[in-house]
Amino acid sequence: MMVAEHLGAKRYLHFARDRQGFGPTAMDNPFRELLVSRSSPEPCSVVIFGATGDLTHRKLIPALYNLAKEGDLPPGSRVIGVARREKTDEEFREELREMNRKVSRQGHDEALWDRFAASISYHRSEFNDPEGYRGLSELLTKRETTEPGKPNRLFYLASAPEFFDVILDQLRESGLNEAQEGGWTRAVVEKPFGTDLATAQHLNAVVNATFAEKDTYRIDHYLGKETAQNIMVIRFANAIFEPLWNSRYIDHVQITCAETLGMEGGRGGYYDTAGALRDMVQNHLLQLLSLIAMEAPADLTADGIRDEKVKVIKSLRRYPDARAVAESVVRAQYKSGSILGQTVRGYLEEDRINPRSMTEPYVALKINIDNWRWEGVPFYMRMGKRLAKKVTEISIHFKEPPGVLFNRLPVTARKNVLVLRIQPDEGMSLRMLSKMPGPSIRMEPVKMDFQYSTSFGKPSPEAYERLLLDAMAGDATLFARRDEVEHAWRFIDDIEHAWHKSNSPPPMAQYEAGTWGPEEADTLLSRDGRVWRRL
Amino acid sequence: MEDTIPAPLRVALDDGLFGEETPLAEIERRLDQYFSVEHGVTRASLMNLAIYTERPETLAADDESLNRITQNHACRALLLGVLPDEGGLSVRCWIKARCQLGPDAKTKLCSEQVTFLLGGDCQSCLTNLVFSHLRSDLPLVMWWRGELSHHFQESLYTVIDRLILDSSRWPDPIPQFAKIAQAVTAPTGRLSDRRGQLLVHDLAYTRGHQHRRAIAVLFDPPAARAFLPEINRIEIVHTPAHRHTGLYLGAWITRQLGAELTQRVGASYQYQRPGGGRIGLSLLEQTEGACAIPSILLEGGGARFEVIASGESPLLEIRSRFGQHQTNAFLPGPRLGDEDLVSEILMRGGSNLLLAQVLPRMAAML
Ligand SMILES: NC(=O)c1ccc[n+]([C@@H]2O[C@H](COP(=O)([O-])OP(=O)(O)OC[C@H]3O[C@@H](n4cnc5c(N)ncnc54)[C@H](OP(=O)(O)O)[C@@H]3O)[C@@H](O)[C@H]2O)c1
Repeated sequence: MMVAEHLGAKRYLHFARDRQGFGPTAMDNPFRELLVSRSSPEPCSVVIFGATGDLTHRKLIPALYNLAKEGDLPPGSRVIGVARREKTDEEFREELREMNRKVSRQGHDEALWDRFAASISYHRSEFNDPEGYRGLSELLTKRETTEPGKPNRLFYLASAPEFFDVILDQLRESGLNEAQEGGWTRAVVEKPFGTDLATAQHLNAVVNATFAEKDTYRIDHYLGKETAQNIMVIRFANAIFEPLWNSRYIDHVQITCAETLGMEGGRGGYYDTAGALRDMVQNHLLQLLSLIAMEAPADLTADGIRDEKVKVIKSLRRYPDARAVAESVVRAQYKSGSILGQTVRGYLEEDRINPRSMTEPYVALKINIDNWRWEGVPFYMRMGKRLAKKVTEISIHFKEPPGVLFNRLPVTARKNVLVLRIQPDEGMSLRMLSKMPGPSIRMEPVKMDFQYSTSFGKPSPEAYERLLLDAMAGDATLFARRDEVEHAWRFIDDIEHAWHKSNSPPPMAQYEAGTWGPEEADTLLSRDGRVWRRL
Repeated sequence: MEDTIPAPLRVALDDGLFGEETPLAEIERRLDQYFSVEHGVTRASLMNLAIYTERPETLAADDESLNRITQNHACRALLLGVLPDEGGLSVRCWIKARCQLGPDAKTKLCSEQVTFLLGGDCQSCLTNLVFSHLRSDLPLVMWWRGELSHHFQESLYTVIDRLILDSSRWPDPIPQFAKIAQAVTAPTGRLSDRRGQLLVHDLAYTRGHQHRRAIAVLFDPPAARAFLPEINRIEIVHTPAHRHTGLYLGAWITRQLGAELTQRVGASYQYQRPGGGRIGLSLLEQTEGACAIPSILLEGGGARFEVIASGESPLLEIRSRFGQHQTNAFLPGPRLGDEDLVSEILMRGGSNLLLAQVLPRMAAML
């Protein structure tokens, strides 16, 4: 102890006490205190329904492998894949290994894979076969009793959506939904979550008859993206944005999700039953909108944040009839055109697309949010396939400064624009005016640009890594809650109804593949004296 | 100055390792010039990162360290080499850009580096050189190689945001820790917009990070935690160069268990728990091992919890045994290179609260 005195240990102690703002918390595991800033995931059995499918191979298993590589996958976790084809554990692991080699974010290390793969097994069953669930239950019990760890179970519904019902029913009937003593049971449900309000409500009823809402994790992988999570940080951790974040200073907001892909790889079959509005807008883009438009949450808990997001969705002004939809929403299909020098087919000529299809691979909307903050600020949103380039971004267009002093001079782009780029080239930029060098006062827009990739060396983790870890940790912040999903569908249903069920459906516009969409979408903005940002 | 330049450094200088020699007053202009003529180049910067050394023979190795770190952390890098005192003050400097292809495989992302070689007594000139070559508004991270000499003075450390050291390399650590204590409690300098105190990172502590994680994982199961009050023996094995990492781990484990140091005999320490129980902690030196800490054992109440760095494997094995229960699992092992540790520190950022709380307890064990 003398040594410590000599060293000025009192000073150290003073230093340590000063910094104890957070203090030792009443955490269960004292060794976790201050070690990591996130809630820690618990080891569990991840049971994947649809385990031979594309999602499991390309996303889920590589995500779990990369978590193991980072040391974030809790030891004692295991994976059980369920699908209907006959195969052995070894065959199943071998298929997964092949794919992991190709797609793993941080490369593939055979020794690490072997250790990780030792926890993977395969269970063959039809989704509607009660026997299969009995077998699954026995398998889980056996592994839980012979292997260390708690009987925590995470059921991941990675099948086509038409099977969600039957899987949930079977889980309930077999009692697999019940938490085991000393453990928890949770369900992760993939998108799409319903195809309209009625189906979403039905699915929610089935889900909640099987799992409590707090144990239900509806995936929206956009929320797992770093840049989406960064929206709240930018807004609420910086002093300069929030005071301007309202109708007094913001003229309008644009959200763009543009893809160059069409219906390659057989995706037309599913897509033609969905369309851009249901496939992207109902979930991902409305989630982005709610992060941009929400009020500051009271706290950073899952429900604190989701309470605020859902208020935004509830405040979206609905379109009362087909005329209102025609005024504010543009749907379109692409005609043939050219992408990067390649001639591409029109939507109706694509593989697995009904040649008389009335499904929209493009949609643009003008959305109003009826609350105090956003009174009179339209949110324009567009999503389309076969557009000029692949980009997802949000741009906040500020109002023009008063027309005095420099602002009497003619200038091309006077408004300040803050852009949050979600993908690719995640980052943000701010456009402002600056004087051009020279004797006269000539102003030009300049851009302050910040790119994630040039500033933070570490590549962002895949969205599924973050989301799986959160589900294991019981943190639902980045998952959609029941009321969010249902209110979003309510808003979307008005549009779908006008398109497909009204007597005077709004027309289907057309655009040439490889361009920025139909003229009608440009008119949607030009009517209001605005233009889409040139990307 | 020429006479005191050690041979390896002379070779590096002859090879142009540090780039283009530049008059001091020209540094910023020449860097700007470089970036204005090079097209498709992004001058990327997230921080100012300085490496300071009084062993100029290691400058070439330090340059390589910057090379590795800047691959992940774009920065304005300052490499500061100080020759042993030899009369009159002299300064030579070099500039270079370190570029790599960005994710689009087109843009080059560049960090810029300024290398200074100082001869003579440059106590005040060092502070000025640092001040005048920082990129404004970006934090200053300083990796101080070796002991904190008289150059580590208030005017300098009050503008540093993050100080990285390696106490395991200090022959006489006690006065060194006293200097840190002084620095962390010093009022913030006029020139820094740092809000709190200087953040100190000791690589000897960072080296134990994966071990701390491994111990946390061992006690995640509630059944294992039930044995926490029973733990009465802790044994930490370290390699000769890494006694400090062992001490830090001992200080951390006992802190988290709420135990206070009551007695020390050689490398054995006695701790008292709040409820009255005792814990014996011993540090054992093992001459061989790639890992700084080959093993840690926590024992008591018939339970055993171990973290083992097995041979050359990059993984840490964790084992626990209590009642009928027996587990073993593998976790990622510690990073070995100093640059990797520094990268990890830069990546994680944060306020390093835990070290601040463990440091006095570790110092008490020295
Ligand atoms: N693929 C993606 O990248 C992606 C991205 C986002 C969301 N999603 C969503 O993820 C879900 C799955 O997509 P996916 O592309 O992985 O589908 P998929 O490739 O078609 O896989 C379907 C899986 O379900 C199994 N299956 C089908 N019918 C079954 C039955 N009657 N009994 C038992 N197993 C049955 C299949 O097993 P067998 O092989 O044994 O027939 C296969 O494992 C969908 O909800 C999709 O919307 C996918």
